[in-house]
Amino acid sequence: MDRGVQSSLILQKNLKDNTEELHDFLADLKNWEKEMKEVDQRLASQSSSKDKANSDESPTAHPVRSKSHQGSAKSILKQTENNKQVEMNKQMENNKQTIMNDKNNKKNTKRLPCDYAAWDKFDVDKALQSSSSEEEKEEEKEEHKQPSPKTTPPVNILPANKKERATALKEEGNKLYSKGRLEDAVAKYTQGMALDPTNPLLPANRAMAYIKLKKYTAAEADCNRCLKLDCDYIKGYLRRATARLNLGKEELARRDCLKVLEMEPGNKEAKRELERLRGMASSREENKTSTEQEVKNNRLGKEKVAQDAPETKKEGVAAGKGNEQSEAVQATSHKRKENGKKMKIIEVNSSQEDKAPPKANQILPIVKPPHLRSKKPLRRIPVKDIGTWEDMKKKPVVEAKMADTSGGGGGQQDKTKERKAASPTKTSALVSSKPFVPSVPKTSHQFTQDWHRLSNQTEAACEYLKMIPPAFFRTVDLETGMLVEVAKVLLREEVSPSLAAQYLSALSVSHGFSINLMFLEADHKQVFLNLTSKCQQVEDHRTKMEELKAAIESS
Amino acid sequence: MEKPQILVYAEKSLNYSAFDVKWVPRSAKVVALGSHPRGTGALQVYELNDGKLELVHDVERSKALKCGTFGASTLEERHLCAGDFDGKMEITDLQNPSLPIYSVQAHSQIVNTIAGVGGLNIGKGAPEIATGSRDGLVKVWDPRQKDRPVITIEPQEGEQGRDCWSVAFGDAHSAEERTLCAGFDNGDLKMFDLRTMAIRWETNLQNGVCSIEFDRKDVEMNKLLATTLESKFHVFDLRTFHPEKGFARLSDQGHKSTVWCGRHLPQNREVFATTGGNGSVMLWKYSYPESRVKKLSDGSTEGVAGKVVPLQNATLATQPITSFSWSPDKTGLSVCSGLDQAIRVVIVTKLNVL
Repeated sequence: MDRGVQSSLILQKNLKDNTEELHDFLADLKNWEKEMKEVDQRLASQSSSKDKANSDESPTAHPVRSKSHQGSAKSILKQTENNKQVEMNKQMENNKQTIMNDKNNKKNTKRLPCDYAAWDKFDVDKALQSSSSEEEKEEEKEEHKQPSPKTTPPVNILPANKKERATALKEEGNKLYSKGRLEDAVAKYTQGMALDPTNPLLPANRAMAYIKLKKYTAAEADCNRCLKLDCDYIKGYLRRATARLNLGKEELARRDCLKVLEMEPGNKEAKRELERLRGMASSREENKTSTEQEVKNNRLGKEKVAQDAPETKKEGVAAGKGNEQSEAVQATSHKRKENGKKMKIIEVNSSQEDKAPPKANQILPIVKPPHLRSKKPLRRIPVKDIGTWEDMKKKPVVEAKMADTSGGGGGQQDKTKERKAASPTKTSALVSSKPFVPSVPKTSHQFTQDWHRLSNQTEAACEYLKMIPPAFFRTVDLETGMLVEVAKVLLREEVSPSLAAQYLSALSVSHGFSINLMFLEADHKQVFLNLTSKCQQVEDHRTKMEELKAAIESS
Repeated sequence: MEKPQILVYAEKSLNYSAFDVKWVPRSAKVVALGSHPRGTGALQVYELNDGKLELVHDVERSKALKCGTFGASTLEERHLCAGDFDGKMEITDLQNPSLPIYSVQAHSQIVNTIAGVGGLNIGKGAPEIATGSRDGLVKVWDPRQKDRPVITIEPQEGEQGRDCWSVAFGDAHSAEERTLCAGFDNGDLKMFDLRTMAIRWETNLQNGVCSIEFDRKDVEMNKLLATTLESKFHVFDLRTFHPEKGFARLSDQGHKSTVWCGRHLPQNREVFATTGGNGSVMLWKYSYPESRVKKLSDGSTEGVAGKVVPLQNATLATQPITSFSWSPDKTGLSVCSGLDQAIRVVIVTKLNVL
């Protein structure tokens, strides 16, 4: 209890303290505000007065970071993703070398130091030699420098700045060159050269750009300039060799290559150039001796040469001119092949294209420009499905008349075959006979329909009937009219008696036949009677026919 | 109950988004920089008067302003250096704010951060302004040199630059010495020595670095506070540098969201405040370890990080508080602004007994 009371008391006290403190603070704050405003105004007035008075003599204790500082900073201070400053320094080494040389010339003890790592590479003797003469000049200029940092930067910084600017331009030019923007690179190099005519790298790089642009004369001139500035610059010689080679000054190009190999015996580029020179020289000699034949060969292409070669060989052998000549001919043709290799490759391809004759039944597309194409409207050609290729091959196209009999027979044969097979192709039957004959009916209804369709064409009907196996008629259920018609067809001469007998006997067993017989009219009955008499001739069915006859006569 | 209290003293609702607020040194004024809804820049000066913020100056700029600093101007002049969304850096005299004194197209993209050194009688040496931008470059300017930066720090050729999110000056204990620290959106933290013009140290904090601050600009570098995304912040002990391990580091978490801003109390460099994406302000105290230097087995020395203790946590808003500024003249007085278009004057009590 006590402790609880105590703790709550303590809490309350704390709260009180806090609020009190806050009040104090706030009161204090108000006083502070007033004070601050006074200070503020005082300072503001001070600043305005100061502005009027001290426009020229602002404190120069801390000058603006000098430009040489800035130049080195620009080139040296780069962010690296890795934490390796050493690499960074190495990259900038070339830059630094040139800058350092200038800096060492203008060494100033008072100047703020810029790059400590570069001091490791500092060469004291060199610096002393070069700086001794220039120091005097520098000191004079320095005195003028201090009082006016606000005005334009002092003169002695400018030369260093120029050189750095030139190097920076060289870097920019290199970047553009690697991007393929050769003209822009040339512009940058030119600018750099204007700023610093003593830098041998700039004309050398510009020469390279000119070579890529195929301006070989300009490239050679630049190489000359570069080599004047630095007579040991190997790349200068190499580039001049390339330029001269392309200008046709082969002798001079060779001399340059040899000079490079003198300075650096292992230089691959020089060796390559020499090889090329030799190749060009030898080919030129050959060209002089066998120009005519070469021209002929190049025109006619490889095949012709091949023909010529054996021809000449043959000639040589036949005429007995001797191996020497044939060999010579072979040698020249061989050489020609080598020399004209490049040309031949192209020509072989083109000749092959020309000589490949189109196949007889190959349909080539017609390519016409739009203004020459036909302006007629397109016509739709209906496409008929006439069966597979193999089937067409089996049945050559025949005339219409033949189709009925032979086609019909063929069709029936097919039918018998295909009945044994799973599914008869209806189309073949259609193909075989020209007149339209429906397929074998499966039901009496189908038979009736097909028959009606054939009602005009008695021949077709005959065909049709013959197609149908007699057994079919046992199960058929026909009307009276149909029966009569069937009977009429059966009476015809095309239908043989035996066949007719078969059909008739089958029909007699069919459903409703006897009823139909009763409904028959007189002339129809007669038809049937004739039919039966026709069929009586057939041995097998005689009895049946007699029965039928009796039945008909009685009904 | 001896803990410091964080209380809102005055609040002002704005009709624009304020991205940065700064106390005007030696005054009771606050400068707010931001962007009007139509994209133009807002520059307003408020004065604290009897518990209220009263508008003193209101200027509109052509392009939205992102950040500002007084660091490079003298106490008498108190010119504001501001960076805007277009990449321009301008120095303005608050007495005549309509026209800038110095204007330069600093970067091709928005100037994310700006820092100043050499002014306000803090630090020694030439006054310089550093700007960091989305284009990946960090540039240092001298107000006396027109158009061209004094130093440009750019990504290596061929490398893709990362957005620079924060810069800070430090180690300006003599006229020559100066260190610039830059933080990037991929977590890179790079420290440049501006005397030797080289990278002194770099590390990666895994998350984008929102704000960096040295505990004091004008002493030999002591501590560095870096706040990042994902509610983390790091304190580095900069007195001892190990060639491989770098600086000793202490990491902690707070706010459960992005820690937008970390600012040391000008009157006590062991106390700092952090602001968070959840609208809260936390007060922390750093305590040094028994020995700040540790000797390793191979003879090299390594720094030892101390401990950080949260003193107080107060939620002031519902939106992130993106900017915080301690008053250099009054202990415990501060101003902050957030994405809720309001600036608040915040009082922190009991700091004098810490």
